[in-house]
Amino acid sequence: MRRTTVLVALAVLIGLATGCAKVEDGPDPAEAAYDALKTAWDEAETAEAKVALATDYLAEYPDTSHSGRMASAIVYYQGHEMADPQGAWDVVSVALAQIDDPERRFEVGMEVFDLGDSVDLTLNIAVIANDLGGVRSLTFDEHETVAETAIELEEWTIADEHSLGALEMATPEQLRADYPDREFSDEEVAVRVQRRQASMLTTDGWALFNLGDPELAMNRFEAADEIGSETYLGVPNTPLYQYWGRAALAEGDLDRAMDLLGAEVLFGEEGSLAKPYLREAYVAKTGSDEGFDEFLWSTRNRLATLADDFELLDYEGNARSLSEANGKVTLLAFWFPT
Amino acid sequence: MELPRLQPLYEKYKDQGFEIIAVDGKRDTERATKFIEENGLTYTMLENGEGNSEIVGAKYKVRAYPSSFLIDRNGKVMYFHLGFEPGDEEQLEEEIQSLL
Repeated sequence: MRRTTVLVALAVLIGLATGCAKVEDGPDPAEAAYDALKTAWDEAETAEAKVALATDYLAEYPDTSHSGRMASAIVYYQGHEMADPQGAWDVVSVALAQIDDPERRFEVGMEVFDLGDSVDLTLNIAVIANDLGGVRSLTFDEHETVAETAIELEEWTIADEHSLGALEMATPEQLRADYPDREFSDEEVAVRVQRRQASMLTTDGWALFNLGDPELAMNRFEAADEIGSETYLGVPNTPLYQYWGRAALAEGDLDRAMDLLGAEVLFGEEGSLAKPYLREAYVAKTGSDEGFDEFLWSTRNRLATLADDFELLDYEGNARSLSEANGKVTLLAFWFPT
Repeated sequence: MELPRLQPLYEKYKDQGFEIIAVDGKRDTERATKFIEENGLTYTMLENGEGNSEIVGAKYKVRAYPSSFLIDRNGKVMYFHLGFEPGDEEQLEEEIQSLL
């Protein structure tokens, strides 16, 4: 969840800087206060200063179109930067109790779930989701967020329910409806729908495994694998190998566990999370930790593939290619300036 | 941000045959050049040409930044890493050493 936190925080900053809010003519004290907050925000240099601004705003105006953004800022700066999740939860939960609009409650509630690994929010996840569910159907993204948060909180029944809810929404029609302003080609739609399906089958598999139904869980994992949604290096861009591998390890299918977790450790998006389980599978298989590094090295050599060459311009306008670095050890880093 | 923290690794290992190629996935020339200058980055920095962003992005299927691929002397991708949090450079350094 750390990574989503950073992205969310960026959204908060951008949202505040550009002022997404529609400013009505006439004296709306909440909007006037929001404008003042934006100015002060640009000058606030510390997390403490930002938290103070957002906290004051939320205390005065708990139920506005800015509530979600304020909650997000408090969760990020107080909960994570200042390492005070309980304090963040205390502030936001007071506001939450004063919000009548179910959509806004949900929006704020979703921000708060990001504290879920440090604060006991177990009950709120189901309550808030049901709350909104009573008003309208949840979108794919909302089901997905609830399912993934429930996984982190080890609330397996909720994770199962919302993974299935999300799966129902994982269709081309629904995807196009979710992005009315985007002109996706059929191919792009297919790729995104595949990812949605593969990802939610994976989440559901892990929920089912923890609910004590390994057989159905394995079916879900296999179905996710068949649909496929892979990175450049051929490892799923979902937690499939992570969960499937751990399930295989728990079931004593050590060869499969080592295959799945090995690929994830070397080439997966959350490789470092898989490494302790890979080690555990290796020890279970061989009886000791000895030779683990060699095992990892041979796995690496077995799975490694040639990097595709490309040509791009440098900042002086010279054409450069990846193959220029042939014979060297090369770190190819994709980045963007902030 | 990741890139400045790679500069010391580059300086430490470049004489042993280590190279860094950084590709700006968003093609923001002005920001990128300013960033490179301010941080004194001396390894290879590439700019996405018009349309190339899709080619590189689609080819390497980069979904999030920073995404890093470590390639050995034979041109094979031996390690992938997503994100860059404090401490990640130690892991990366170990991987680099194992390939040099």
